[in-house]
Amino acid sequence: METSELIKEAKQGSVAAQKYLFDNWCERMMVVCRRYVKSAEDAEELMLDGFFKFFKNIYSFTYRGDAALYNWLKKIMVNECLMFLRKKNVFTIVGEPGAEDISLQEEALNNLSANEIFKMIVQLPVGYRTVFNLYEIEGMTHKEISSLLNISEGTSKSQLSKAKALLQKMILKNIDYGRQQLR
Amino acid sequence: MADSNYDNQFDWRLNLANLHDTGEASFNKELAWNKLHGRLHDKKQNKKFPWYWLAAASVAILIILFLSTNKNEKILVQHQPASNKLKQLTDVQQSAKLPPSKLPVDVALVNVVSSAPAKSYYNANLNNKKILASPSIKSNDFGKQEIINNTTSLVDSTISITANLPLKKMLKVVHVNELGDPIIKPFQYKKYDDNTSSAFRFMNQRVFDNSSVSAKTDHKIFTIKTN
Repeated sequence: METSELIKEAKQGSVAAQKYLFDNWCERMMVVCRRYVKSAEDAEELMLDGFFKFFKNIYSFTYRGDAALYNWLKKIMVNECLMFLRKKNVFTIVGEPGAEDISLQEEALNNLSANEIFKMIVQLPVGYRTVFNLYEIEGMTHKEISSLLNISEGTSKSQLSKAKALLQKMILKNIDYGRQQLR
Repeated sequence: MADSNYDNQFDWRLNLANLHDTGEASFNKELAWNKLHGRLHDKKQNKKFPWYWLAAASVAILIILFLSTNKNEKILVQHQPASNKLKQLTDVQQSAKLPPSKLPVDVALVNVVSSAPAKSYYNANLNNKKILASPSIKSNDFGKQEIINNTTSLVDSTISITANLPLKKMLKVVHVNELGDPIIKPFQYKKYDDNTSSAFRFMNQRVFDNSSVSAKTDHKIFTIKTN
């Protein structure tokens, strides 16, 4: 059954269609939640909250391909995670103005597997991780991030550059580790 | 979300988006679905919905009823046979030889009875409202002159007037004057500074009384002169 039909049936309240959609997308959404929240249990709860909202508001969704569905679901999940982080007051970001802009070694990242990148991101401190996820992966601007997290744009920039610096170190370690393994 | 830096999408981002399995101990899909299904089709939640609205509706109805009862507060205005009372009063005053200046000879008393206790300013004002009427002068059997109020035909029967009070509006004072005589406003009574007798104006007529003299000489209580 195609996703468009599944969405139609889910709109009509079909439990089978809802389950099918959940089975198709839950793992990818779990990865999204885990990028923001370190605890697997919390991430699972947030993923379920996200799907709950998705099915409750599915009538307002118009299917325009799988990419649109993925983006819609991801947006819900990211919002859930940010709400969770804000509620828990997990991260208190201290701004450090004048942080230099560090560019990521994109080639080095491209050589890594998705799973390796995921593990590196999860290891970042919560403040760095959140800003990195929002800027580099969700594609938000510093202005949007600053309003979303109630921080200044400068703080957002400094958090991002620190996250990148930490990731560079991890990538270099990974490369060194790989070389050692090759020898 | 802004796409400012989204154009430079590299493979690692796409790879990350398509990542299904993180290699960690994956969660139980069936268990997670059961949780979600239970939340989506929770019967208790569906039952709560009408009760909530039912409670809200009942509160609203109570408020509306309370407001409407306050709005339609009825005021019963009863006309007592005021002339009889007035006559009694004049007789009492005559026998007690009290100065008639204190007697409201030209005022018929109207008792305003409210069905509800006087809560508002308007009710309080309505109580003991006085309505003016013109008196007439007659000689009684004993040769004394009496002031008889002309409102006898007006107020011998008990009249009930029901008025609806608006909540926050000033109540209009209605003068009941079935005889059609001009209504005399209270400021028209003007007492003159007279050491020997008290005089006042009534219906543009100067009215004198010699109560101070009569106390000494036991003469007529009332002497009325017209202009």
